[in-house]
Amino acid sequence: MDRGELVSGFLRLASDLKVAEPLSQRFGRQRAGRKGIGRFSTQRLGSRLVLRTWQDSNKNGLQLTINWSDFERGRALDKIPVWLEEIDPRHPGTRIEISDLRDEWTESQIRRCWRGVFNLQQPFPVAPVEDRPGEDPGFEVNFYRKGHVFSDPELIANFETEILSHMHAIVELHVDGDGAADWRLTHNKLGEDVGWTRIHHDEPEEGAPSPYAHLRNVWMKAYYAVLEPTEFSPMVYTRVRELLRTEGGIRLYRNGFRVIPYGEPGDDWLQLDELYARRTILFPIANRNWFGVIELNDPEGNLFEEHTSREGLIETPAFQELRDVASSVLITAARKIAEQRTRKTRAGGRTEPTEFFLQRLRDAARRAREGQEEPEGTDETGTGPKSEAAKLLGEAETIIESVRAEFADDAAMLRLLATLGLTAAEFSHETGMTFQAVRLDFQQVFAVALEGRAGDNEFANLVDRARGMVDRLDALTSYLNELASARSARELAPVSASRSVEEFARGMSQLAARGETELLIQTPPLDGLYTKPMHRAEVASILLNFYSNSMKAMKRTKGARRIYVEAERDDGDIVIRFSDTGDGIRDEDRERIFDLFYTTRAASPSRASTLEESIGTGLGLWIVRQIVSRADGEAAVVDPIEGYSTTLEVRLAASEEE
Amino acid sequence: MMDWLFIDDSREDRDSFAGALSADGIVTVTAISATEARTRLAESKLEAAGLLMDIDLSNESQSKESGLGLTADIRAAQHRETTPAFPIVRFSYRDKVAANIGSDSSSDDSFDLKIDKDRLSNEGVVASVQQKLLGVAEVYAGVGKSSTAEVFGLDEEHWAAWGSRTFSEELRLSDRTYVKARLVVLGLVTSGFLISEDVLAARLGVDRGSSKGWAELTKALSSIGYTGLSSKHFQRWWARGLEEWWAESTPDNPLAGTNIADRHAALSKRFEGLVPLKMREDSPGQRPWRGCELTYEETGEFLPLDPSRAVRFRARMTVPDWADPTYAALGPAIKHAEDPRLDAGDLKRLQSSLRKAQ
Repeated sequence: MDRGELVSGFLRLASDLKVAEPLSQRFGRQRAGRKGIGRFSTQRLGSRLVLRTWQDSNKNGLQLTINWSDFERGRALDKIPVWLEEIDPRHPGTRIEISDLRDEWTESQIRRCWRGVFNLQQPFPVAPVEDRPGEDPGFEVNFYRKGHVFSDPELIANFETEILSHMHAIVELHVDGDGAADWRLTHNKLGEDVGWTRIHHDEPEEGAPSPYAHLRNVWMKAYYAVLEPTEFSPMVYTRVRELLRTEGGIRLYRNGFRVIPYGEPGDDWLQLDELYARRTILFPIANRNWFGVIELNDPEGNLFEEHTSREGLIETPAFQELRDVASSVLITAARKIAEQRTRKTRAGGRTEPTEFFLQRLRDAARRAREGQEEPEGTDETGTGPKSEAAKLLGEAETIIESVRAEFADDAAMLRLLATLGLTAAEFSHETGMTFQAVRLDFQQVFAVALEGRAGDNEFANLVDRARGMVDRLDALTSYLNELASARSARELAPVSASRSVEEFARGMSQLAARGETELLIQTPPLDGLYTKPMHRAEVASILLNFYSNSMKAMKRTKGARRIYVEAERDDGDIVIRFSDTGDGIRDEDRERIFDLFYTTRAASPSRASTLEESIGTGLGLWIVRQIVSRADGEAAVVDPIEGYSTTLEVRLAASEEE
Repeated sequence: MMDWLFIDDSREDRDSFAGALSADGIVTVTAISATEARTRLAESKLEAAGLLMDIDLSNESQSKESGLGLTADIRAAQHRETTPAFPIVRFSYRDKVAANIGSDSSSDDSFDLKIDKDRLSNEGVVASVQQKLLGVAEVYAGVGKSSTAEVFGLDEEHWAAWGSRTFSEELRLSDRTYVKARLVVLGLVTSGFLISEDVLAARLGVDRGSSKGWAELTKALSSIGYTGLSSKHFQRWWARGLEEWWAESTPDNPLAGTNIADRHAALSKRFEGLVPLKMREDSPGQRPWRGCELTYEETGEFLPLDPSRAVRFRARMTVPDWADPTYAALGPAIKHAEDPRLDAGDLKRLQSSLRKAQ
């Protein structure tokens, strides 16, 4: 503010400045208030108001000081001294300081106050300053406690202390002027960062995704938090959870202006809540896990257009792309963090949490028994068995809580997998039942059509192709049906690995051929290769998961596609080796591919179908490891056999009954 | 000629199957619902060249019929002779059979043939099924009051040598056309005194698919070919006749005692273009005589086996004494060791000798 603005806007009652100039000069902000008495409200907070304002870094600023204690009853306003003086230059801006507070403010009151002005602030700038020079930087509200003589004022509440510093990671997205989208994961407290990575939600496999057709000039910065008590200190957890419950989500700013309702409480424009509620994605991905901003730079309004009601943007192709890429990035990043967290938990040695907490409970029970035998009044120091037992029981309670949370996730995952399994079984059963009828009808249709188009080679090729497709679908559904019927038997029994591989080849070779893949197997003719008791469908599941990964890996290469599965007895174990000619597995990924949620694929956008969501979830090979571990076996990436680029090996204990 | 009727609970499915079987006019199959069949039966108007019966009829909303129940009632009506005798063929998906019948063989006698729907669209299967339907209908039409030898196209002397006395006795005791016909059909489709072309080739140690001289050889075997009732539809050879035919040229080495090399050597002296059968690694032995039941059941493939190196396989039905015992090849048996139909003693013995040989 210059001197004139300060005087007429701040030292006059019922100033007409807001009427004459409703927008501020520099950033064009709407001037708030009408009566010119807003400043008097500061006297309710403190007895002194100091306003400092600078217009130019090279010129002196102005300081206005008001002592509200001088405003005495019956005294004329023009007799009350107000100090307006010049101060040293500083970078442009205005600071208002209310001091000599009339009340004691606890930290929680200060924090509540900060939350009260929360919505005045754009959380944080996202686009680099050079991309929008002259833009309104917005407001920043910091609450300090007055420093003592020898110390600086202490920061109590601002964006950093209230939200950002507690979040676990930052996820960023940038779509450049040519539509190329890149994302990265930084400040990851739960694992490793990921550098800038190119992405297109429709091209999820690794490689070089294409630029977006419509979307341009987008920046997203989103802070992510796993809202679990174990990831925060107890006081902070409640505060962050409450704040994110009402304020979490991804806000949208277009050309510097907030676009309502995106990111408002209850708004789920990226369908994150819906996705999480469906439980098809098991890591935290809801709006309450995010605090973020997307900025669109589209001054000409070529890509985005607001509804005439000013409520939201019209569903232009660019807006659809924005939703897809943003949700895909958020899901991909959250999954990466989930994978890293899972590994960390395992590395911590808590693979069997039940055993850990049972031991603690046993200790507590033993101590309690010892306490019973202890004479009354002998535990005054708080170090005897009674106190120790109480402490252990308290710990055990905490452990039970966290284990219960872990098991709740496991149970949810099992429910999901069971649902998918049942759906697949039901689907293949129903389609299998009608396939014969479909094939027979097609055969007649083809026969009649071919007769009518005799000599038409192109049509004959078309018929051949259609026949082949029906055959492949039939073979696949038959195999799935057989597995589904095998699942109905729940008893575990030794499983013939060689038979499983042979059945797999019978069921899948036609499908593989469709993907121009040669499927070869090698099994001993006179050795069943029986494993220790497990379920036949489990071995099939291992092979199907390997197959699915191999097909994806081979699609990323241009060479001949071959899969080779061999089963043999080796050093007393039953070994299945699954090799392919895909793009191989990087050395650094060898140990990780069996981890929960580990995948090299970008996530599908949130609007994707359940089927799409279930592809590349990072569950497949994790399931393999679960099956193999339960059977006292091992699954690993081994050096590829000659002529192949990848070999996965499953080693299972041999049946003793043989 | 009357139509075959196909009783199934799903309108679209039964029309598809009926359409496929009727497409080239060799047989005519009309699909009807279980309700319609029950009405016709009650009114003694159920007449057909034969019936194709689905086991599970639960999809039909207005009906509580089951294929087994309806079949039993039709057979009872045929016994009372209120309904004419015609063949009934079980025509169902394998998993429906497993769910509704399982290992219970009590309904097996009600059906003349059992055909799985599952493989009908595979190449050549429709034609094969059509031949079976025509064949079984022809048996019903012709079985009448002829003697067993006449039914099977032999004189009494040859029937005594190549046929089965117990079979004759059973046929003599059959007092209804459908009972007689069902027994004759069983004789035609079960490997016993008659054998199929696959078994014939296995016993001769010839890979018939690769042998250009196979047609010439079978022509020479016409004297032991089956010429009885429905022989046009069931191409069979007399098992004992084959051994006699072999003994005529090789009297010192009975066919069953020779290995593939011996058989090939002996046949090659008389016929050209015969390729010796190569036993698969999972079916050891060099004296092939039968086919593997387990492989046939699972894939429909005929896998020749040497019974001395194979595992006895108890069929679901009690095997008549004139029928060949059933076996599973060693490899498939080892890989299906949990199948209770396999003879555990045979399996253990053969695995033990395998281990010793290693």
